[in-house]
Formats: sequence, structure tokens, C-alpha cells
Amino acid sequence: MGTRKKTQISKAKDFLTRLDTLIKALPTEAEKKEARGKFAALAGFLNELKDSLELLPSRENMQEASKAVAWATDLIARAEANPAMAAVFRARRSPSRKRKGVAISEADIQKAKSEVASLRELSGEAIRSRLQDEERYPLARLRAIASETGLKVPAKTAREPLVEQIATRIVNYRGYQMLSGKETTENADADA
Amino acid sequence: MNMRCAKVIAFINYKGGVGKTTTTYHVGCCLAQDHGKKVLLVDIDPQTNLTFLCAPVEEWRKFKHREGTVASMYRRFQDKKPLDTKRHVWRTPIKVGGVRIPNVDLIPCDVELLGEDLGGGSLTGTFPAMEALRRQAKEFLRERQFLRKALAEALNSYDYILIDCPPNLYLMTQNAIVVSDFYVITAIPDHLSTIGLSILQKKVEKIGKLVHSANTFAGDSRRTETVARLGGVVFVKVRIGGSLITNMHYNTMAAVREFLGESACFSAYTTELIGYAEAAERSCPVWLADTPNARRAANKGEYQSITDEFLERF
Repeated sequence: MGTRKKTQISKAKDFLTRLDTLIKALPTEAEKKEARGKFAALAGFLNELKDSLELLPSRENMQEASKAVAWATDLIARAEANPAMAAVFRARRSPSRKRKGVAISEADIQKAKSEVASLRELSGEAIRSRLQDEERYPLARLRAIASETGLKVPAKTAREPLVEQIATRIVNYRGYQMLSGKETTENADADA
Repeated sequence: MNMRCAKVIAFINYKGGVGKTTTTYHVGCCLAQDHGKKVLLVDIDPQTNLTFLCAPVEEWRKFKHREGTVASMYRRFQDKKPLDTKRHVWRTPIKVGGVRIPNVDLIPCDVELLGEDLGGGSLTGTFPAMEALRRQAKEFLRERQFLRKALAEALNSYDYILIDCPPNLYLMTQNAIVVSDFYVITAIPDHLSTIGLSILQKKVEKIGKLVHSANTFAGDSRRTETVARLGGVVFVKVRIGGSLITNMHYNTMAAVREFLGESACFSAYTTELIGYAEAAERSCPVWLADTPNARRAANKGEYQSITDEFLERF
């Protein structure tokens, strides 16, 4: 009789322990209230999202708009290519990028012709020495002289290599004339 | 006093445009500037290109009128007059930015040599009559002794004498082969150049045999002078695709190495670079020319590598 009673008592104890645990796990009124609030906020957000989604147009709805975008793009391209249309739409050509470098004026070109004639009378060293004068021969004038001698040089060529190329071109040209027997003037004394 | 005995090297190929002059010039300048050697460049090509790599035309003309060129030396030789070599040596003609490059001298050439180069230069000539055999042999030898006589005075003044030969095997080139210790062939590694190499070697050997025979017929078989031996082949204007030699050139170089022997070819070579032409316009070696292309070429150090091998060989 003692073992049976012990078993029933222990079962009752277990039950009460579990019940106590369960009761303690239950939320408090405050916790229930807080949870209700949070669930309500979540529900509200999802509803808003649902409403917003309804507001978005579908791809099918936008087909017409898509065609309109393509047409407008094409129109702008044609307007840029056609000055008359450009004027109507007030579209402007993008300004062409100017090359960096020194601009050569018409005056420089005219002066270059007479300069080259006088430089051709000088020796190579004398040419180099004269062209080193930055005041008398700014870069623009040097470029004009280079052009007049038939040289094609990159726009960004610096002063020193430009002077060297001009002197070499004049001296070599004189040499070619000399070898072909076409020279007309006696060249100046070369450097020792 | 440092007694030098110059090594004499002739740069030859009867094909034109294969870098003889450019190689002669740059190896000479490199020997002088980088290795402290005293170098005499000798221009015997009537095209006068080596001369114009050293100085502008107008300076050459002044020197020519004042002192003379190989052409005037040859006329003196034909007139049996003393050659006066020292007078015809142009001391340090190469000038860059007002500064002369030391230790490189030049015996300049002249287009007037053009007609002279043809005289008696045939390799196929035979001595026409037995009675005149000895006389003809002596004349044959004498015609090929011009450069030997001209350079005799210079041998003790230089470490190296480099001779730029014309693109043929006429009299001047034969003179160069007779006076030189070695000959170097420059060649573009293509099919036609390769054909030329084997022909060239055979012709040079023939010159050697003719000289030997002529010594015998002239009654002077004691003379044991030999003509130049093949010093090597330098490949020039090798074409590069990306970072590698193109297949055609690679295969040709390999074929020549196999044909002549691996050691016959320089391992260093030059590539097709516009910088060399730009430097030529400025009468200076490529490493002293102030253009972007020349600097790019100079950075490759192609002629420095060739000169290093040159020094190992000679």
C-alpha cells in the first residue's frame, strides 16, 4: 500500500510542478497588452504595403508610356543632328572639345615665313641659340615656324624639343639641297 | 703609352637596308661610351650613310674640302702616292647638344667613290694570259691592299676599327674583307635574306681563295695573310607581335642558327623601331636622341646587348 500511495503523490507533485511552471510562463496582462500593440503595428504596416502595391502601375499598364519614351529619345537625337529641329526644340550641339595647345595666330604664320628664310642662313648651333630666346620666340611663334618648315609635331610638344626639331629640319634640308646640287647660297660656318 | 692593336671588323651584306650602317654606328658608339674603347669608324659605302649618322651634310662638306675622304685617299692610292691617313681621320665628329662624343673617330666617305668601287672588282675574273699572270696577280692583290695600307697607321691608335661596307661585294668590300680580322653579317630574318647568307659566305670564301691564289701566282706564297673570318650574324628589324617574335622571323632565325651553327649567330637582336630612324635624322645614337620614340628604343638596350656580345666575341 505504501508504494502505490507514493506513486500517486509523486504524480500529483509532478502535475502541480508543471502547472506552476505553466502558470509562470503565461504572459502578464501588461505583456499581453504590449504584444497586442506590437501586432497591431505590424498589421498596420503590412496593410499600408498592400495599399502601396495597389498604387504601383504594372508593366502592362506602362507599355504605352514605354513607347512614348522611345519616341522622345529618337526625337531628341534627330533634333541634335538637324539644326532646324534643334532650333525648334532649343537643343544645342555640345561644343567641340578644343585641343589643348597653343593657338597660332595669322600674324604668327606671316612672321614665320620671313623667320624661316632668315634661319636658313644660320648654322645649326646659331639656329638653336636664337630660338631659345623666349621673349622673341614664344611657343606660338615656334609652332608657326615649325609648321612653315613642314614639320608636323604633336600639339603638346614642349619648347626645347621643338627648337631641336626646327634646327634639325633646317640643317638637314640644307644638306639635301647641297647633295643634289640645288643649293643657292653658301651656308654659314658650322660649329667647330 | 698604351700600345693598342686594333681589331678590325667589317660589317657586310650585299643586300641593302639590313642594318649594316645602323649596327656599325651604334656598336661603335656603345664601345666608346659604355666600355671606354677607342673606336675608328670607316665608311667605304658611297651612299655615305655612316658619315651622315656622324655629322650633318654641311659639316661633312667642309671636312671633305679641307681634308678629304676615302675617295681622295683611294685616288692617292691609285696614283701611288702616300695615303696620309691621319689627315683623313675626322676626330670626334658626333656632336649632341653641343657636346662631342669622345673616342669615336671617322674616316668619312663620298659618293665620288661610287665609280671607283667597280674597277677591277669582279669576282669572276680570271687572269687572262699566262705571260701576264704574275703581273695581273700583283695588280689584283694591289687593288685589294688599299684599306690595309690606309689603316696600317691607325692600328696602333684604336681598340676597334669598324668598317661599314656597301651593299655589294665589289672592290671596296673585298678590301674590307682582306684587311679585317672578322666580318659580321647583319640580316633581316626573312626568306630572301637567308638565301643571301649562304651565298655571301661562299663568296667571301672565294675571295679568300682568290687572294691566296694571287699570292701564289705573284710569286709570294710566303704571304700567309688570311681574309676575315665570319664573326657572327646579327639579326635586325626583327618583328614582334605582342611580346613575342613573330612566327616567321622566329622560324627563320632558328633555321639560320641550325644552318650556320648556334654560335655563329648573336643571341641579341634589334627590332623594328622608328626611334632608330628619328635618331639618324639627328645624327646621334638612339640613346641620345630626344624624342619619345627614340627613348622607347633606347630603353630596350638592344645595341647595348649586341655590343656586350661583340666584346665577348672579339
